[in-house]
Amino acid sequence: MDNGGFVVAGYVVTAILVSLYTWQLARRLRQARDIATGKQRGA
Amino acid sequence: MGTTGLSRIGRLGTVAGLVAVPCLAVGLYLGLVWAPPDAMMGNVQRIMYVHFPSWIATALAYLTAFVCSILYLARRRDGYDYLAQAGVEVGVLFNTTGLITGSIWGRPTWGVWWTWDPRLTTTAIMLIIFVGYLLVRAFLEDLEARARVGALVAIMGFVTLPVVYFSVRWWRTLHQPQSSPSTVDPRMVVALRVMMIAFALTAAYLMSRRYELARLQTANERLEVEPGVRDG
Repeated sequence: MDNGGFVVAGYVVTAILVSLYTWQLARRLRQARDIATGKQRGA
Repeated sequence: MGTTGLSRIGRLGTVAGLVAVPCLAVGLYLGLVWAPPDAMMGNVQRIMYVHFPSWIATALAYLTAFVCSILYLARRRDGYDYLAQAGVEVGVLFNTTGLITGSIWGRPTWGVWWTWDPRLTTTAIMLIIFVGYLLVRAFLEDLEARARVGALVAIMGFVTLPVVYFSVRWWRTLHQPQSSPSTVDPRMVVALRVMMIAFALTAAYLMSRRYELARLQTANERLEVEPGVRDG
């Protein structure tokens, strides 16, 4: 494939950025839920 | 609804996420295998199947932030502020992927990774303004001031979107103007549209999750300030 490296790079970079953001968002959401659950128990 | 349970927006986002996965799989097959290579650019044109959908997702996210910011300033309901935050953060993500994939496409096509072309420059300015939104919010401690100032920055940032869109018509630019579906192979149009839907659904899913996060974070902050106050 001509310029195949550029095509692969475009798809891989997009996949990495979206996956990293999704993973980081899920982690932040889990932490916020844990805090909320802890606070509700303590309130 | 309890603070930790999913809201209606969260449940709609889950549906969007579930539909996005097969759409992405089909779109990738169509874009990488089924659609023919471009007559002039060859296979490098296939980057367009992630580059252009990134802009669709960006526009959708920033439009959400813009509308919700106006609604927040008019009605002062927290939900609008949560959605505005979600729109900006997800918009920044896809704005970044759009710029990077454009740069990767530009290297073999134009011979440069970056050039101070009106389209590229206005797009970079738009990204900087919305990154500024995230920074402003991070520095302000008062919840209401954070939402109010954020809304103003989001409205100001959105003004750059039509400038970005029309930049290829208003100024002499290296970036090509918008293509018409009638001038390209129908298979390319199908692949592009499936990927546009997939990216829009992915953006909707991510915004719904970011909305949930904003809702929880605000409820947690309010409990810290005033113990006993619950998310309402």
